[in-house]
Amino acid sequence: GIYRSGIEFNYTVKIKKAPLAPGAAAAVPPAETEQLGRGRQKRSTGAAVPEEIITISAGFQQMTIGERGGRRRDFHDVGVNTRQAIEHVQESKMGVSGAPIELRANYFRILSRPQWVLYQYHVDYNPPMESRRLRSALLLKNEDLLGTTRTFDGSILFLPHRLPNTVTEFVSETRDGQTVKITLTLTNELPPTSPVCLQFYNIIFRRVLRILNMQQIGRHYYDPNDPKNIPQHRLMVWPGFSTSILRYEVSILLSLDVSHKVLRSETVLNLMYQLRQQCGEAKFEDVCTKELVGLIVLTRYNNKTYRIDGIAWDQTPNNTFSKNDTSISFKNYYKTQYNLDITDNNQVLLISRVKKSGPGGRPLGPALLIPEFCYLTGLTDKMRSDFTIMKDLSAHTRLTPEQREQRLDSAAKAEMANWGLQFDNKLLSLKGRVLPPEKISQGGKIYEYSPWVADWTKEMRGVQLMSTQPLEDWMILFIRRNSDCAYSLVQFLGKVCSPMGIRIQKPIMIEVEDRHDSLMRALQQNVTSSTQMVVCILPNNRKDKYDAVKKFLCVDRPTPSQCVVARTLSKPQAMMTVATKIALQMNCKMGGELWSVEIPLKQLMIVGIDCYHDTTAGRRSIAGLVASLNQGMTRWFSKCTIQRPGQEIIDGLKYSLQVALKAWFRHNNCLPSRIIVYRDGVGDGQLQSVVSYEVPQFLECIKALGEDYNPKLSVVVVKKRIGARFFAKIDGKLSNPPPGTVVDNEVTRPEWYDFYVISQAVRIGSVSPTHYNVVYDTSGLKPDYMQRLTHKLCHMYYNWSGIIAVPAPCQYAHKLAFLIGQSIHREPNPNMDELLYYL
Amino acid sequence: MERIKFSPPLYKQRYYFVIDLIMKSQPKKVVDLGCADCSLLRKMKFQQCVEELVGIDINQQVIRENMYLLSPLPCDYLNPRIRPLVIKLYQGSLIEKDPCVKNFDMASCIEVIEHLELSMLEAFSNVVFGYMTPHTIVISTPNADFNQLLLGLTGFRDRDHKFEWTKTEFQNWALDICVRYEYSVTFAGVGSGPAGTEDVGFCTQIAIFTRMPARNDRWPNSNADCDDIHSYKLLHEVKYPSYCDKNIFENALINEMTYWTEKIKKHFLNSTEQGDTKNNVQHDQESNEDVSWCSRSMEKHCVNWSVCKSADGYLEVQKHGDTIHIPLDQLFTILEVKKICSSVVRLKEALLEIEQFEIAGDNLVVCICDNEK
Repeated sequence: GIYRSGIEFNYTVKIKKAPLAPGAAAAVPPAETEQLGRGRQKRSTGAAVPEEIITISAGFQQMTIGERGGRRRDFHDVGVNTRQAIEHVQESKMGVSGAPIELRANYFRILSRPQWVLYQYHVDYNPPMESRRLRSALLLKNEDLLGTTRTFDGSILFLPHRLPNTVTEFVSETRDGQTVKITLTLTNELPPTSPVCLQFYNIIFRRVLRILNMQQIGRHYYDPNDPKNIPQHRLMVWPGFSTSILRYEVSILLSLDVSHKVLRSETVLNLMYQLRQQCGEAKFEDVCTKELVGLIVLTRYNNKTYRIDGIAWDQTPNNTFSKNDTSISFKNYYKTQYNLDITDNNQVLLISRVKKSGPGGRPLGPALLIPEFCYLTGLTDKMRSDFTIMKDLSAHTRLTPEQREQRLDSAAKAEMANWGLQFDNKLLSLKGRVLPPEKISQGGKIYEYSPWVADWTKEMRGVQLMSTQPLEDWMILFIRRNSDCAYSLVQFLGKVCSPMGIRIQKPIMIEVEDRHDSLMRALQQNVTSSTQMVVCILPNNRKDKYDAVKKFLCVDRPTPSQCVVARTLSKPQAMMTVATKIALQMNCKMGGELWSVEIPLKQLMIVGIDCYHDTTAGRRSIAGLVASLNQGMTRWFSKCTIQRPGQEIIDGLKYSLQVALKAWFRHNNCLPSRIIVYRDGVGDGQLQSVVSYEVPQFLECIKALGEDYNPKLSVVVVKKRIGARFFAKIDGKLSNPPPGTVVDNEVTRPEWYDFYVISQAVRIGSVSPTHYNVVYDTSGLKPDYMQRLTHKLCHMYYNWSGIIAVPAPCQYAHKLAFLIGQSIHREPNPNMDELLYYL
Repeated sequence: MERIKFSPPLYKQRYYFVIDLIMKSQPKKVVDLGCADCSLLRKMKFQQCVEELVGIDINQQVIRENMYLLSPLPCDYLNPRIRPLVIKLYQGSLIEKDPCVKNFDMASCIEVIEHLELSMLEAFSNVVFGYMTPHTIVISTPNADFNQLLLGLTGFRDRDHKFEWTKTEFQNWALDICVRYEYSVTFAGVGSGPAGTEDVGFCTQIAIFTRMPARNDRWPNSNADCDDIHSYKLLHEVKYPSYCDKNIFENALINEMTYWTEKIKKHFLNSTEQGDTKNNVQHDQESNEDVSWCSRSMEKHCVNWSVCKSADGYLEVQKHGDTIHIPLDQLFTILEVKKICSSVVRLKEALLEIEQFEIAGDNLVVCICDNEK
């Protein structure tokens, strides 16, 4: 077949080529003697892990020990130390403003920890042994010397006790009778606070979770014995925990958060049947690819998760693959290996590209999976946009602060003591500060919002907007069935616009037929370069129609547009509110401004960046960059680039930043003297690449504008999806902290200039704080100022008359990248760059 | 001469041999004597016939290191077994007795006996054949005759081997066992040498012992006196989710029934909504009108293509006022339901026990009044 398949099937290579140890002769040692001896050999799971040569006693920071013996991605970005380069936060990175508040956080102190000093030995083989399994077997034959507690990854051995001599030599024998001299050399002594020891704590903790019968799926552990069923959607939610033990600002803490895994109680094959029935044979391939690609599946026969990367339409279980030089059909393979019968021999197979590299670091071919044996995890985009599913789900997954505390307590109390680890039995207490509410200025008036609600929809009512664009040359397109809606919308817009200060004329009313081409033809015939706004009333929320309209009006004939689903306009009692929201949005899209907060810094350009990763076939990433154009942060320049094959995201960002700086120059007749970049969309474990790759590129890009142009630059990595949760004790009850809460001690990391801000208010569930990590900063701005500025920017998102969780430019950039990635798939027309057309 | 390479590797061939035997004889209780890193047990657990799986090894460390590999997978919870499975791992010596493995259907003892001192072999036979008395025992050991074909081999194949028997030695031992403990034996093996060396036999020789049918009558409770002596130490016990567990069974049934009734309800409400505008169906009237929409929609949704043909007919659903009646035998045509319940009778019994379901005669009664109203 075209595809090599299955993790299991990758062991077709007889002689495993691995990089040799330094100084090793390039002789090929005898291959493993699989043909002989006592049978119970472990399956060679270890062999799939590349054997890297590690520079001894250097690079500890980056090193992690995988539980299964291999190296893993450093999800906690432990090795990245950015604070040391930022002079003005060497002594303190804490702010001062705001009222102090007592907080609790979902962290637990370690009361006792094993007083382990780990001894690190380098292990040498003479003659050199190639196979890691063999090396391991040879070494561990000497259990009497080494003891049973040890970790060995092929070349480095960690022991909890010291061997009598610094250099220990002994002889071991292979099954062939070949004698091998093994030399152990002590290279390091690791204190209990070293990252390697922390890894050991993590391993211990995870072992305990396993003993408690928790199932590992991906990175977290879940309890399968207490599933929450949502039968009407065939969903199942497993409660669980995400855990990590790390060194925080002043001590080592266990970070523990409640996590939920959504599983689907039907196989991929079942889902395929349903899709085929729903969409018919003709569209099946298309629909199926769209629905499945990007999803994570569990298989019935092993404990691995796979991401579906594609569908092999030409492969069925009857196809064969080669294993040990013989070819075997999938059907027979699963029967003999796992006694699993395939009932449908015509099902097509799923393709999953395996990230791990094979023996010798060679990339493995994609794995082929049998849909009948795969169960889906997580939600599809379609499900996410289904209101009833999300409602039913949130009934199980949304926890109030008090429910959350109960769950966390029960996990922390688990019997760790037997394992030498004991945690404090209550949530960590720490101090935070609550920043004062901002004053919102709008159309010459200044008002404050209620600090707990963090929303000024009421206060806005009847106040003129900051600046408006007239609606004179505009049109509404609708189908006959929705003509009532259209006229009612015009009527209500007339009512709500004048108090806001928007001048409004009658629109051109265009009735179209309920056909795709009819709508598109009407747009082509009526939209001219002078058209200020196009409103489309769509009969339903079908995506293709929306996409076509947006694509035409963003790329071909750049014009601000507003799509409204007819149903939104069907309730007369809600029309005032709906019309108000639509009027505000249209005003922003045409270049109007709504409100502002006080930003004292002059010549400051704020930049927000977010990325959208296309999960479907092409897997292109889209980078949105939004930069401020004026002092009040009310006008923005937006640029979106689509990553071309072989290109890095930063290439597009560099270009965008350059044009943004030029636009700033056009508006202000000078270049900004300060630039603050808020970079969202950085995944776990990717911090290093932002620091060592993106930041230098930003600097280079700035330099390109002139030799003597030397602005101050700050780069802040913004993260919303984090494990930290904060609670405040209010009226004797554990509640969400008020909007504006800042945390910059205890649970921050000593090697970073980082802080948490809770800007937003939530009504249901526990609020999620946003983590800000200033990875580069030549601004010299005090941490207090940085925190307050960040919180101020969360007030400036015009699609929401309240505070949001991230700085407005990040949310704008997110919206922009999402629209391009989901609907337009092309770079929009530059004429739109200075409009918030994507709101 | 070339070095002999077995494909698949010999150890795997031994496992396949045992697994084949399990597939043929469908034992319920299986014990692996000398289970080491549990890799044979890991293959055995996929056999649906097995309900109790036990592993015994003298080395407790190797069991502890590998025992979690025998835990259920996440999918075992999503797709529970029809029959139960419990896996127990003991640290114990094969020359000591413990009632926990008495009278199993099958015992495997793969590449183990050659690690025992010859002096201990007698005690081993006495425990396994005289006390445990499994119905079938499969024992494998190296064939010393074959060693001449293994290049570069001097002495035994492993340093820990205490002996390696020729074909004749092994067969004599086995036949002697049969006489003494009333078993019958057949010989087999895995790993053939190159053409022309057939008389040497297999690289691994295997004996399959079967207890004589009449044996039980003549050995009445022979060793019952030892039954309260427990010499094995239980290290690990894990129970697999199965429909035999009442909770799992009921949950699965509730899930399945809720899914289908919700579906039917939704279609009913949709169709009456449409019907209202068309010909004003009087769905308030108490009538036994045939709700043909339902059978059609069920055909579309419940029975996927491959099943559709084999199942006779569609779900015939009857409407009574604001409830609909779904005959249980119709529900039983749904594949998933069939999997959970063995028969319509069982389905009815189960539904009667679960409070949230209403049964009238042989029908499931579903209220179709709109919840939101």
